[in-house]
Amino acid sequence: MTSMRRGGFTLIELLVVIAIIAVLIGLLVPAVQKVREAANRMQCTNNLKQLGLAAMNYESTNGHIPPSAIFDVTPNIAPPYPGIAHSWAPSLLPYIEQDALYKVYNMKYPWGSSPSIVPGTPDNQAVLKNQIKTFLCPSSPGGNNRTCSGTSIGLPYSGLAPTDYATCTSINSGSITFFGYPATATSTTLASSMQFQVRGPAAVVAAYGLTASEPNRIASILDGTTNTILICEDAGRPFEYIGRTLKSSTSRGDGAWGNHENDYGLDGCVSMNSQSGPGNFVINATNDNETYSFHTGGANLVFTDGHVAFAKESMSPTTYAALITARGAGMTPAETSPSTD
Amino acid sequence: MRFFFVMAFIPAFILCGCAGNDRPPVLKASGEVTVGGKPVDGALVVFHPQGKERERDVKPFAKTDDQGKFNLSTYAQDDGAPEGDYAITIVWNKPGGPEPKMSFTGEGGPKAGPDRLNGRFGTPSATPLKKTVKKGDANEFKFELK
Repeated sequence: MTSMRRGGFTLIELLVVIAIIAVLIGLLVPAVQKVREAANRMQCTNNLKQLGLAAMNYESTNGHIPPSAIFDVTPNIAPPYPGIAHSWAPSLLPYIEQDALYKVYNMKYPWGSSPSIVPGTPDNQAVLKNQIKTFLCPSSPGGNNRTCSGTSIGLPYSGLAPTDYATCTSINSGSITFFGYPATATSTTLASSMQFQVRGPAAVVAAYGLTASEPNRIASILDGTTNTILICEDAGRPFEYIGRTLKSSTSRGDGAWGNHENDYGLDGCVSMNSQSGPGNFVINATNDNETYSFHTGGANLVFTDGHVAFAKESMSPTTYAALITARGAGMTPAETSPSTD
Repeated sequence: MRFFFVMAFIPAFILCGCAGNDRPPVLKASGEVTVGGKPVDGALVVFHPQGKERERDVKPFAKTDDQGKFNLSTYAQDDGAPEGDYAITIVWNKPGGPEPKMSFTGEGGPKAGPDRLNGRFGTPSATPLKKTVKKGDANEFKFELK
């Protein structure tokens, strides 16, 4: 019988070979994806490093750390707009080789300024439509095709380019005791290194529900620049994610790099699939005003001294809070030598 | 045929590497907060772990309902609390009022107002409230504040 058999494969042999190939591909594909993700993460680290250095250069020139947002209601400053408002991003443009954009962006008018809203005013919105690579993490789905729309301080905007990086400016007032700080502390005492700059007559400022404030100097970072986060990842906007699930593809319009509301306060989330705070999950639970990235297991952060670190999702929430505050020294046990490890 | 058995084991071996989780187990824990005998609605109750090794750990916490009752959450809504000693802070913030005309964070919603308990139970290092979560106990905690 064997002598009659011609060279060929039986069905079983074929199936075995196919199964082996399938297993090999199954092993190979995740490996390739991992390499791609590692490259993306490195690019993201590099972006944050650039932003950290840009902030340091800004500090050398101006004598203070860039404010997370600017709001100026000094009378007659930007008529007919109520005042000027900017995010942290435009002031860093000259330091990330975007001087050309900085020159056309008018710092004397609000970021929402556009001749289509008030004829004759500069078109800041046109500048903010430019995608800037340094503000985008390559791991974020949607890449360059994402645009942000909405309304802010009464000015409608659309088609603006997003940022995957933003600053976590403080700990929100409802979550202060959760992170172990005394109830007497406020979002102002627990502010981070980039803080708001609010200017104008006290009465006008108060009518907006604010108090006047100036940006930090290096000397006012009492916890040390190595222990204070400058900029975090809040990736994926304008899409809104809970855990890894897409909830909406438009709702986070505040993610435009020029929107003064693109920063956020820390609350944490009850679980990795929840948006309600406070909670023990401070990284990658949601990109709705929390630190969020598409990297597996954590997010990149740049500190006020310019070093970039990868913070794990499993990191202690109180340690994370300690890294956010610029002047929390001694307030909680975690404030002594906080570290991302 | 032996091939197939070998093949069947490969994914099993691969899956073996995915187990593991260093979270301590949580025990169901609940309670009630009253001030002057009246239930407190919407107070933030936080259990701060005590002891050198636990001081940076995750914190069980809860918001009281309109009956003043609460269930502690640590890793998920109402899952409970890990075993151990805790110092408890309770703050009962007034609602923050209308949203300010100018927001810096896009978070909207009223921010928390002042604490109606005047911060008397709001400092983890100074709070007089201490409790222990124990295995085998009911872990029901009553806080009758004045």
